Amino acid sequence: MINVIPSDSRSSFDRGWLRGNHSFSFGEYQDPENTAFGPMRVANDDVIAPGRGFGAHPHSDMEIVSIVLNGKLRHEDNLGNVAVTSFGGIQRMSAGSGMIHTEHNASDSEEVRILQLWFMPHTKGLEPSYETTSFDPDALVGALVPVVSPEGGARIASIHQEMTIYLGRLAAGKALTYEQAEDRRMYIFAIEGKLSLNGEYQLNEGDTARVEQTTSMNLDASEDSFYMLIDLP
Amino acid sequence: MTQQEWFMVKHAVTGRGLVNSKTDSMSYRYQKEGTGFVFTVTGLEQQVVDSIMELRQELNVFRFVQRKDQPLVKHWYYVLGDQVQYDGERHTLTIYAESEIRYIPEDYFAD
Repeated sequence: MINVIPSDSRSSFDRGWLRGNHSFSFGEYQDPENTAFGPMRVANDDVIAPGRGFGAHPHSDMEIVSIVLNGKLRHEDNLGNVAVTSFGGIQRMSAGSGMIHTEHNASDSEEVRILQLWFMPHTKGLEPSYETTSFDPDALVGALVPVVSPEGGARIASIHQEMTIYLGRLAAGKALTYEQAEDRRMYIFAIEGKLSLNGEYQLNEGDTARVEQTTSMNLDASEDSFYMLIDLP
Repeated sequence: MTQQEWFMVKHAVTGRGLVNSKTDSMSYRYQKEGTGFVFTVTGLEQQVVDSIMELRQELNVFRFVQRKDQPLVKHWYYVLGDQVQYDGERHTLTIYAESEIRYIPEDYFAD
């Protein structure tokens, strides 16, 4: 079952310093029918104005992944971590029993665009932790590159949930297939370009597919495309 | 020394405000208990109680303290959902928090 969610059906907002789209209930957008997809609770596509950001605030029992698409994102937390991430970088925060953090655009002149993704952890009350990793942008071409997984790795952030986040790029006319175990879900987001899914469904830029009971997914690019695929329970 | 203190409860995922003792007609009592903390809240509308109980696994509970000529101090409490209880006969909500993080927003990077 493939449920395509068009870009313009996301909740769009513009507060001046912050604009973007919420794919699940968040902030002023409240839809009791759209609060989660498996353990996934939040998928925000945010653009933060230069020098602006979110002041100190808490989180708990949530795995929070920030993928910087352009610009520079600054993170600071009560564990003493301070990091600035640009494209190619991933930030993963496991809030566990509680963390305080801030997020700001580290640039005074350039916007930052981030995908911020929240997932419920497999266990509550974990020890809070934070890490940054970096993937090789050149490796994305024609591939699905894991950037977050339970095991982690040299270029893969680790997460406390049985899920993997992949990024990839396909040139127009190219295709690839992702095979998934049964009883799993896929969340596919077209960051740029245009893709077809299993030859039946079209994903335009900004569209999402929530996929269940489908073990094989063919991604076929009709334009140069940049995409994210999440394999989750 | 002049001191203002208030109590807030929000939904941790969406940020939806549920209780704010500054603006809502309610009362609360806060006390340390063992290694944790207990909030005893009365005077809440039933609709608010229902929302809190529905969202009890995902609450952000705060106590804010403002002393004269001092920066605002925020206390955030780690609450597990099964430690949020409502006594309908006494119209009393009890929230037990396992731990606390005290922070001063001014200590962090800001716009």
